[in-house]
Amino acid sequence: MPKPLIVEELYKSYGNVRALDGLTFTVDKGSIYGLLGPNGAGKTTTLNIISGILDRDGGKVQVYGFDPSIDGRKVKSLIGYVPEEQALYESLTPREFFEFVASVRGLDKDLAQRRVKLLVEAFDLQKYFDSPIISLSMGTRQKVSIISALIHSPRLLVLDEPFVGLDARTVAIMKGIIREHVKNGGTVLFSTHIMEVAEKICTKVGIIHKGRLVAEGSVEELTGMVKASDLEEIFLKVTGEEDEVSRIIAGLEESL
Amino acid sequence: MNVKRLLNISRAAYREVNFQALLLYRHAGAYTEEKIRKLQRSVGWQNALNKLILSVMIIFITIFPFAAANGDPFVESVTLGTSLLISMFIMTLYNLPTVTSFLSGKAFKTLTVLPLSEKELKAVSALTFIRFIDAPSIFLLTVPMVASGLRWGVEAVPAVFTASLLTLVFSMAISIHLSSLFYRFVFNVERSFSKSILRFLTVILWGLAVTSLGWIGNIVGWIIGYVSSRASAAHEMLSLIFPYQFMLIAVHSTGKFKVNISLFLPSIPYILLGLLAGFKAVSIISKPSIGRLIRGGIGKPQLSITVTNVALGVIKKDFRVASRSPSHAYIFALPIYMFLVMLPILSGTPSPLKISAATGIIIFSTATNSLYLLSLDLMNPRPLAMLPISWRKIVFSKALFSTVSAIPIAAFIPLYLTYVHGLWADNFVPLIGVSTCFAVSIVEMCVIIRLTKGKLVISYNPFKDVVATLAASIAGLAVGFLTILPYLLLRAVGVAGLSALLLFTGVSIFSVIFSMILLRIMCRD
Repeated sequence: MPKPLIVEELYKSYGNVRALDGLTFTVDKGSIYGLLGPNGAGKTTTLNIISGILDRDGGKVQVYGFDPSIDGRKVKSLIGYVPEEQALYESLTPREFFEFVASVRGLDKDLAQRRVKLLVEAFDLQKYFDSPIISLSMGTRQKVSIISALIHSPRLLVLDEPFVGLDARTVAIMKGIIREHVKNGGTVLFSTHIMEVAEKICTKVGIIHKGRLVAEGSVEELTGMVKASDLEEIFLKVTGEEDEVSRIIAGLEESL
Repeated sequence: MNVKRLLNISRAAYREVNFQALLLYRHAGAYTEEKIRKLQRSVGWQNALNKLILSVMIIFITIFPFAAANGDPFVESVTLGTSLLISMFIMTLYNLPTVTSFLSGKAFKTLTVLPLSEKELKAVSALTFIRFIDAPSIFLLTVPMVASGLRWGVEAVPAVFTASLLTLVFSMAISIHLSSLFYRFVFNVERSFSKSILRFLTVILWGLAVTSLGWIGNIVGWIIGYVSSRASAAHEMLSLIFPYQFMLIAVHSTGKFKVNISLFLPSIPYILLGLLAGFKAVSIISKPSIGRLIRGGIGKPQLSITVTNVALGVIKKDFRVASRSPSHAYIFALPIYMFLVMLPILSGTPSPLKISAATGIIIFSTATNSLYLLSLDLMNPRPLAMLPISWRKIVFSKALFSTVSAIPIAAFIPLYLTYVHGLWADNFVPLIGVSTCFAVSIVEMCVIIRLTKGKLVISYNPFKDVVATLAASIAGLAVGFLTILPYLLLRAVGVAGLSALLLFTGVSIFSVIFSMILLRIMCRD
């Protein structure tokens, strides 16, 4: 059985800017892999390539043995992707958007109905079900985006900053969904800036910096490796930002 | 807060509204960072250029016909009135995109978090709106006034100025109401059948109204012709139509041309209407907010969804998205336009050439529509890019959608011709031609996809990517022409209508098969 995700020596540039510089990592079945990195580290580019939205310049990507640039449709049917930049039709209502997604994915009517009802109730989206997406708040739009990625029970969930804009209740539900998804044999790959979330739910963490993987392992492994007390400290140490952050905080203490 | 600061804030809001209008109407493509930056840079000069063009048009429309009028004060007054009427519609047409963007309220969201009082926010909103119309309004108010003053004397100026002012107010009121009509009826979603029908009708009317504004120039010749042939009856008729009664008052007050004073009475309701429209417009523009205009569903909805097959799913989505977008609303008015264009062709005795021309119009209008449907997804390609759907399915769905929209008019022609001229085999050529609509749509979209390398995240804009549109149109024309040509040739050499129709049916079926093969080759999964 092929692994959910293999990324090897991945390269991608935008003009003269190198976004990915030989990124390599693997996501095992049943794991929750957290991709961490500072802004501009290449997280979104990586997730877009994995999801078949963006072409890579070099390297290898395999999702359950399928290459997204060759078998894009197959990969898209296996994954559920929640992008950071919401990909919704703003003039549609959530109901109409879910109908479109379910139809294009060729889902069974009863199954899609059940999933939508369950998820809409879980995310407390009922009262916005028939409101145009353009009129919804950022957090509510994020809920629509998440539900549309979950409708087809994907094997691999790819989430780019999934907790942005969500309230505490929804974050807790989202964490529950991620855990349940893994319990049912699925796999999760997500990027986040929220260290606490990554620390609590990730079975493995990969930290990328300037398009390269600079550290990888479970939170416990990384804590021992870089002699840090928590994930935030690990993150700052391996990305070389610890000294700079201390200096800035000291400067702020003086001026504030 | 001082006026200078309010003016500065309104400048920022004005820029944002223009930017949103460009995104709304000119298909910013895939919204890549580079494209957005390009668009941002072009906002300032594009709007300045728009204002300049509009101002020049107002000057030309007013001065040249007036200068060329034959010296008869009555004809001159009709000419100046017509110029005002045309200016009103051109201004409305020009301002519609920005007014729609303005009314969305998006640009004012940021302002609500600033320490501004409600009064100041209203002032900023009004100042922003004034920026859209400043230069053209000055020319609209002054050019007719100066022209009439010079030609007729200073006595004519008050009536001409009133007419110009009302023209400006009506133009703004029409723009504002067309835009808010769009938001109120088109964007609002309520799931009752009657609301859906109402929304659909509004979309058609909206599309017709927006695109018809450009045709208003045609009325000039008609009015001039009518006036010169039946001058006495024309006085009474013109006194009822804005702004001609004001022009009659203007020439009457100079003493150069006398009419019955009772003919001036209809000017009073227009002044009252102008006041009402002006106050209403001010109340709307002082608090633009999309939240006020867009309503969601009421009550607790049933959490059910309707799942269809892929093609129908795409068609339903296209229908919904297009019917709620100001830039695509006219797609639904296309069958009505086709009918209007075809009326003169179908008048008189039908001939194979006339019927072929009508069929050709249906085919190419449908194919053009499919290109617009294609650009609909390339305006916002990300939702589709994330789904497991092939270009083959997308193209097929869009071709099917545009073909179905051509069926009513294609079915009407045989019925009409049979009813008026009797039953002939040739009458059914347009109906059979529907299959060619499908084929030509597929051919044109395949060319576009080939030229844009078939990437879902690459954008296509029918207006901007002229080379791609031209290449697609040439390919479509070739297929369409080759499908109709054998029928025409057979009829030209005297072959019976039924035989020619059978041949046309065969060729049409072949064109569909050809397009499907092309689709398989050019849009691989």
